[in-house]
Amino acid sequence: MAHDRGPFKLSNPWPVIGWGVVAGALVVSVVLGFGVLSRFQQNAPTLDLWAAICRGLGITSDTAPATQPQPALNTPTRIAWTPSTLEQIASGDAERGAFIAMNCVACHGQRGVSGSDVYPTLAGMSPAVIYKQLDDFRTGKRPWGVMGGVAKALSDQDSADVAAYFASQPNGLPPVDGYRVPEPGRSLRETNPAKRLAFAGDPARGIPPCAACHGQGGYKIGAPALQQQRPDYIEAELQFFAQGVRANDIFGQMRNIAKQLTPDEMHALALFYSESGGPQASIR
Amino acid sequence: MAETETHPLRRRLPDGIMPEEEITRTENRWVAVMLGMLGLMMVVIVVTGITDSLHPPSNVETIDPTTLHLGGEFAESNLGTAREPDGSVTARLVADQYAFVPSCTLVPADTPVKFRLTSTDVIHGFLLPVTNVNTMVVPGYIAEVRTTFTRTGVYSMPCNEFCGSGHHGMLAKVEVVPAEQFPTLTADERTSCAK
Repeated sequence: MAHDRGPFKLSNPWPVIGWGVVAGALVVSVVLGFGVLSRFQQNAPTLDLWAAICRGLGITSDTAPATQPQPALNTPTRIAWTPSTLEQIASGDAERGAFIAMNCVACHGQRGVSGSDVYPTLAGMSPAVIYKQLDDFRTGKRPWGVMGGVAKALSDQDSADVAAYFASQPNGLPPVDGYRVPEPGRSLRETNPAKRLAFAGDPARGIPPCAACHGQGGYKIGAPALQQQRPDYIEAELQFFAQGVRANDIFGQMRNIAKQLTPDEMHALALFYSESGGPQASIR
Repeated sequence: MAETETHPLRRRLPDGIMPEEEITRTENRWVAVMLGMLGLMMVVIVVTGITDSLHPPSNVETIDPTTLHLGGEFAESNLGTAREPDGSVTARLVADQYAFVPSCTLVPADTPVKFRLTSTDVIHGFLLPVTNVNTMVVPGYIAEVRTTFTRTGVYSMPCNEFCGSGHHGMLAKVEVVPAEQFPTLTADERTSCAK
């Protein structure tokens, strides 16, 4: 008897009922979703049926970019991470950059490994970071007398070349990547405040972990490697960000964080990063 | 099988361990409960959708996420809350890994508010509890949500959409002040409660 209960038998009414229910639910949902729910907008007049259907589908003509007057434009940098910028950086020629770098080694150290507290180590730093900072020095977005003068003498291609040179130098900063090292103590329960800020941040103050952008474990283009950087340099830059003296970070990423840090935390973070070797630790 | 050909719905099946009628009755009861729950949920969705404007915001405006900071509506200097000529306010925010900019948005109570948000990198989420504000912030698109705040205070919430390893440190803050305490703004002024 079971053989005439098959789903394709006309004598069995259940498939028809089942499909009917599905089709009915679809029709009801379409009518409710497009014809009723899309029509009611808060702080805006109820839409007519056609506008409601368009809005429900995401085709809107009732919103438009603001045309109201804007405050004077103030941009943090001229650099945007567009494909053309990235291609320019990738085209850097390290051999040509080695000649340009002769202007840098007096302060930044032989092969970009700084021996001074004032100047950052450049060896091993991402070329995108060096390229962007050079452009910001050049345009005055990061005001710093000496570097402004140096950068003005360089073309965009020169910047890419010298960035490629320093990025390829050994014994500097370990490269930043998304590689997460499983290690205890990288949580909000960590008692060392610098380590806690670096790997877990402080959610109550809206501070994400440093490592989410600066590595290890996370990476964001334009964020420099911090491990083994000169501690006094890190601390000084954090203070500049907090005071707004340095404001070339896109959408105030570092300014917003640095403003929330206490001087003690800045000092502790600078020491923590200069001492942390990481898995690729090298001997200086 | 010398059985007469009757309609399958009316046909009597032989009794098993559990009588077929009993099974059918139980199944029908469960179907009724299930349909009732579905219907109730539909009613809740429709009623809240109409009375509280609680529905997915659908606004398709595209924007290049890589060059937001170079100018236009989402340049750093244009973010924050603006006063519209009709007395309402528009709050513009950018969400990026891992912050909302401005970090604290100031809006007046009992005033129509329009939030316009976009992202520079990945999908973020913006949700203010006990209001109809709940939207994804998708790179390349501008999310727009309209609301009116009836109570004053600070809404504080982390990013509502997992966005990376710094997600838990990404805090959105919206401070609602009485309308008379909201600063008077000219058309080209922006305000926020960020430090």
